[in-house]
Amino acid sequence: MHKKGFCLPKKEFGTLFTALQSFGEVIAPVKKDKFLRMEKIENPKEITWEGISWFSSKKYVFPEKQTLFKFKGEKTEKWNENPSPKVLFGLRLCDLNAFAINDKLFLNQKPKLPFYKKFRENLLLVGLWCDTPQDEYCFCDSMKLQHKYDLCLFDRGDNFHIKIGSPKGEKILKKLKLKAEDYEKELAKCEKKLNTTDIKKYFENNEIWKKGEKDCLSCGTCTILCPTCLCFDIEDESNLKGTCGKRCVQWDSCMYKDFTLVSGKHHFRGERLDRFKHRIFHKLDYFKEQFGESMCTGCGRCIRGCPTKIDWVSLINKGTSDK
Amino acid sequence: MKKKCSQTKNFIFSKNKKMAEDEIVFLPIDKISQQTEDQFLFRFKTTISHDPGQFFQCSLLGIGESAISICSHSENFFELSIRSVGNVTNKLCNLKKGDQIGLRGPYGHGYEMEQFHNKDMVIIGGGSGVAPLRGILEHLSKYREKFGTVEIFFGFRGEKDILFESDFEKWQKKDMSLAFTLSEEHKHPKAKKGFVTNILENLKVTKNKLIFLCGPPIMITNTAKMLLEKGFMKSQIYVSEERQMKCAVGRCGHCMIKGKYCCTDGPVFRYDELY
Ligand SMILES: Cc1cc2nc3c(=O)[nH]c(=O)nc-3n(C[C@H](O)[C@H](O)[C@H](O)COP(=O)(O)OP(=O)(O)OC[C@H]3O[C@@H](n4cnc5c(N)ncnc54)[C@H](O)[C@@H]3O)c2cc1C
Ligand code: SF4
Ligand code: SF4
Ligand code: FES
Repeated sequence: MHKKGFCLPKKEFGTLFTALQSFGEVIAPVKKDKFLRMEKIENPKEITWEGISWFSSKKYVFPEKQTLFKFKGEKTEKWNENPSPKVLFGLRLCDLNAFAINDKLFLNQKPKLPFYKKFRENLLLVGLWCDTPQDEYCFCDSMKLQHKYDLCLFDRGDNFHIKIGSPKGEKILKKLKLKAEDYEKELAKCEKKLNTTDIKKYFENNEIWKKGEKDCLSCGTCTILCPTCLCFDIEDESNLKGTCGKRCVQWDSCMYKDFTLVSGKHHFRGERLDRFKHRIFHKLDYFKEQFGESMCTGCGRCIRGCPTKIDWVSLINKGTSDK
Repeated sequence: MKKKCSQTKNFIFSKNKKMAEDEIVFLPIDKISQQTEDQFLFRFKTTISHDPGQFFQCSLLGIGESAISICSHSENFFELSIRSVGNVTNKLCNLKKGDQIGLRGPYGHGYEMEQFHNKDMVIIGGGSGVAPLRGILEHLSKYREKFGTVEIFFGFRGEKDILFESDFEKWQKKDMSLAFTLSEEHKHPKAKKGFVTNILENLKVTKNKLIFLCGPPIMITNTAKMLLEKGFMKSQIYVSEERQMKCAVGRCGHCMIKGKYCCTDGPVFRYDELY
């Protein structure tokens, strides 16, 4: 897809930064204690320009814990706060796509989750293009990612090329009066590939998944780190008398055994193997059936962060290439 | 192919109140009757439009929500049969007439009865699983002439666990056959000893029959296996599945069965949709 682009000399980056700050507080990748995190910054000098953030940015649309409504007696009062506008700066294409994927589930279908819409509307997504993979875990070029952003920066040495992806982005960039230019760049070529040909065939083939069964700790780290894992729990909190309190939505994980518990102590995915497979199949197949595209962006976080380094991509490749 | 769930058309909640999608409506309990030691029948004097098999999310603020099937089919009221098994259901079962329950729904894809006109209906239920099936039976009683033969098979644990026994005679009078088993030792004159599968041995296999199955997971698995071995086709069997449910609108992921959402694609599935 060809998108309009403009040239910004790097030494004038401050003008863009000011324009972004006029939208809202700027959250950008910052290296701290060896980890790259998304943090609020005041000065462009704080930005770390290499690497992919350890955590995804999903919490900016879907906080770990979010009030749905408060109640007092039988009176309920809907959550109706106005989140402060934020610029998420320096998102990689995988994470930009994650927003689009989460939108499919939470924004484009009815009933909407009211808080998701509010948080989403108050975000400006500014990408940072990957010329090379950020590390050996990235496999985004196997995942058919699309240009989804408000603005996206391409590093051209002394200049940035900035593409506009939405009217929201255009409005910000217009303030800068930049020179238009033509520039296209392919996404990084990753060494890690995911071969999903005929993947359905391998679901029932438990041989492939043995390592997942043996090494998985059901710790849920993969689901916490994944930018599109947003399964949730609904929980009530109240004072001791139960007269007032709130109902909250909270991140949950399909890797936990109790995720499918029903009365009679029956677990529908009581086996570790079933949970491990379920997550991957939701990412690669079930979501595709529902929305026409994969739920995985190839960001590699679930492998990068797994305490036992279960590389499900290579497990699948082994299956799909052994014919 | 994704089936459109019928929930949107069923969001009508009493004549003038249109239930917003995520809105909880508080209704007073009009009548409570104890059915077993730990199961109670709640009646609400409100009309709703729904298919049998659909369910409500029943809320007690500060405690939580539980999915409960609508087990009636009437123009004047609706009923929920609730078994006390945990946090929410224990508290629900301790409520009194006039107390309020928060409800949202009805949710899910139930039994679309018009599809089954002229079919021979076989209703098989185990334990609490007979609750959603009672909705079908109430519909059949009302529109009996639109359907073929009706055979009912229920299984309960003991004499004290039998549900809706006071309805049995009414259904039999409407030309529906009914047999049931009790798995514990008992002295009930009409019940056979054993599991519901024991009384299904003589069930005749015909092409015009449809089977409606609901019960605990193990009962569903065993019964479906037996029916398939007898020669019924997967497409003749409808199961109502139970899963942990939180959102009831296809978002939270808890109820997923393979790629399907039990809350919106189900809870009623044709067997070949899932297995
Ligand atoms: C479509 C559907 C229809 C149902 N119809 C009825 C009915 O007509 N009558 C009836 O008595 N029960 C019915 N149930 C089961 C009922 O929802 C659970 O027994 C109830 O949610 C248990 O909640 P609790 O807080 O009392 O128990 P706890 O054990 O304290 O619950 C802990 C958590 O697990 C979840 N949970 C536990 N068991 C179940 C379960 N079986 N299904 C879903 N979530 C569960 C609850 O959401 C809760 O958050 C139905 C369930 C489903 C899915
Ligand atoms: S991070 Fe690894 S060990 Fe933990 S649940 Fe995920 S796959 Fe299993
Ligand atoms: S499944 Fe793994 S690689 Fe795919 S989006 Fe989630 S964290 Fe990234
Ligand atoms: S109950 Fe939340 S997705 Fe079905």
